[in-house]
Amino acid sequence: MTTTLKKLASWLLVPLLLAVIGTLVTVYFVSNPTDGIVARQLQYPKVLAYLVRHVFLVILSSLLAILTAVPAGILLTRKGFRFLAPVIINIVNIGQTIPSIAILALFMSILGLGVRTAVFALWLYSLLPILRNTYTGIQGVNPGIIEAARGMGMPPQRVLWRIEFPLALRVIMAGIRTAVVINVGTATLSTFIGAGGLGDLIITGLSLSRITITLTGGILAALLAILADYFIGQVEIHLLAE
Amino acid sequence: MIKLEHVTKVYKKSEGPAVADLNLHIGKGEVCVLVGPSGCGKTTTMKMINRLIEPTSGTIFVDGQNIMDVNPIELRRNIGYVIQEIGLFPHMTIAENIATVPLEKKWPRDKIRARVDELLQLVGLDPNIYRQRKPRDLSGGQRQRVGVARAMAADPPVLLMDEPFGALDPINRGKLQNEFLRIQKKIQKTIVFVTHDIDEAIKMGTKIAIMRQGKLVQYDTPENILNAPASNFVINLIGGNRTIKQLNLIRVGEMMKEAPPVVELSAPTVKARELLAARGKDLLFAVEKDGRLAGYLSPQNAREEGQVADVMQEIPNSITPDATLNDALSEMLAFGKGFVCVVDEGGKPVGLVTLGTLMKAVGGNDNNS
Ligand SMILES: Nc1ncnc2c1ncn2[C@@H]1O[C@H](COP(=O)(O)OP(=O)(O)O)[C@@H](O)[C@H]1O
Ligand SMILES: [Mg+2]
Repeated sequence: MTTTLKKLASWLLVPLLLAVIGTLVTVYFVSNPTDGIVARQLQYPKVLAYLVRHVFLVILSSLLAILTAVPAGILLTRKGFRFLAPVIINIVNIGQTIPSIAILALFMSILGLGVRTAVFALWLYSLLPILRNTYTGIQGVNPGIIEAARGMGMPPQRVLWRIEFPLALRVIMAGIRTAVVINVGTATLSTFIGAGGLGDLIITGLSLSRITITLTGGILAALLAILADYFIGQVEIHLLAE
Repeated sequence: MIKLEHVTKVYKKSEGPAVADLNLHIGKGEVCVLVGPSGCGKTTTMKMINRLIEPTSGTIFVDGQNIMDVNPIELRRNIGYVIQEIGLFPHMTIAENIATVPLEKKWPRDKIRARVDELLQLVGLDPNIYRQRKPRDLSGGQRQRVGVARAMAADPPVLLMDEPFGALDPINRGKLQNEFLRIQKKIQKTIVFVTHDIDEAIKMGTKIAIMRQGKLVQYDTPENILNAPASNFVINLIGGNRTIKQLNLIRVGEMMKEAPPVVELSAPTVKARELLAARGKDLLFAVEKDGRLAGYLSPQNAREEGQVADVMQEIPNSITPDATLNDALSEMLAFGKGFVCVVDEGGKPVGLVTLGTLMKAVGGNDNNS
């Protein structure tokens, strides 16, 4: 009983700390506006709305990326598709070298402005780390272990889910973690295609030369990235628990 | 039980065949050891039996059935498979590892649990300690024991073992070999055993199949191979001293002499003197209260006054009846005495092997006993 409480408390410590810092920063900047312009831009409901939109963009695009890249990565390790792996990984690799802002611009011209384009671009940008880690994670499983499983009469599907996937999970989770953390940063660019998020605060502050507005958006985005990293790290620890 | 007829395997992109026109009949309950230098096709031959590799031509029968007519998944579930150390699933407990095939066969949970415990006991691991451990918590020898237990989980009539003890140090390897032979005596499986170690082959095999470059060069009992090697290749493979190698074929239990009289540790040495005189022996075993061997006494030791415990000499190591005479010889050399004590699994003395025993076994003069 007390140990579970303790566990919960220690688990919540980091998120709480991050939330407190975020709240303090926001409260400080909102209640101490340097002038009327800042006062108009920095209001609690507005800041909250930017934050919520940001989180929404990140979660939706990341979930979509996990749901597509993990199965795709697994598929690339299967017999009939293995020959495709180098080609696909290379294409996605090249995609990753294109600056994220260019991707946004590119798809804006195709899909127009708005949330849909932002989610699509973020999804595309998160694919690579997850796809690559899923592929290398499963490829990296000791072939002797797989052969032992096959040799004992485990059908291929079961070998995948009982042996290969659990053994690759650590690497796959690392890919997801990278993707989501990058995603939190990239999502600030959504402002350029009118999809909102904390980027709005950053850009508004910059264009109005009001540093506190930019700082509010920037600090909240940074805290969000740390929180995401921590959270996925915890999921990882639980999934891989002995 | 297993029949290979004109089996050939040519790998893609390789010049010669890995296995060439191989014919092999393995009887029920036999241990057939495939032996030969690295790359001669042992593993390939073995993997064709459970269809991990499909032969290019030829036919294989297991229990009278052409294996190409059997679903490979079904086939493999009825053939135990042990490979070198790497084969255990690192993310599963020992119990889960052993339960692999029973789980695939959808046995009820209770039956699986009971079977896991039974097997752990069979291979000499306490279920209460090891059930929930992970493979990385085990020593090499223990992992190999688990590997064997896992292969036997669903009681398959056939076992395939690819260098199962290859990664172990010589002492542990010897121990596991002996244990495995003891188990095999009980379970009487048909076994295909791959090794590149001719001594292991001589020790483990009812029949030895010597391979060279994908071909079978001699297939016979260890005795016949030692006595009548078919070619220079076989002679070279056997190497060393063939007489000494024959010691590998004989179990201590078959040749050992009766154990000397025993005396308890707490007894006075006068009792030891009486025993020595009465039986006309020159050796006594000192035992604990529960009968376990503790040491030995020579007549000189017994001459001193006091308790047996004070004057006896320690025995650093003893062997079990299922060890080979070759093991006995090694122990004697290590121990530096002309004898080695034989104890049962509980550590109680059951016999004695002397140099004379060894001489008799290899047909030399027996003037030592
Ligand atoms: N998957 C493979 N592809 C091509 N050649 C192989 C393959 N596996 C084994 N070989 C070749 O076949 C021959 C026999 O190999 P193997 O059966 O593993 O020998 P052993 O077990 O006796 O060491 C070797 O020359 C080896 O290089
Ligand atoms: Mg081999």
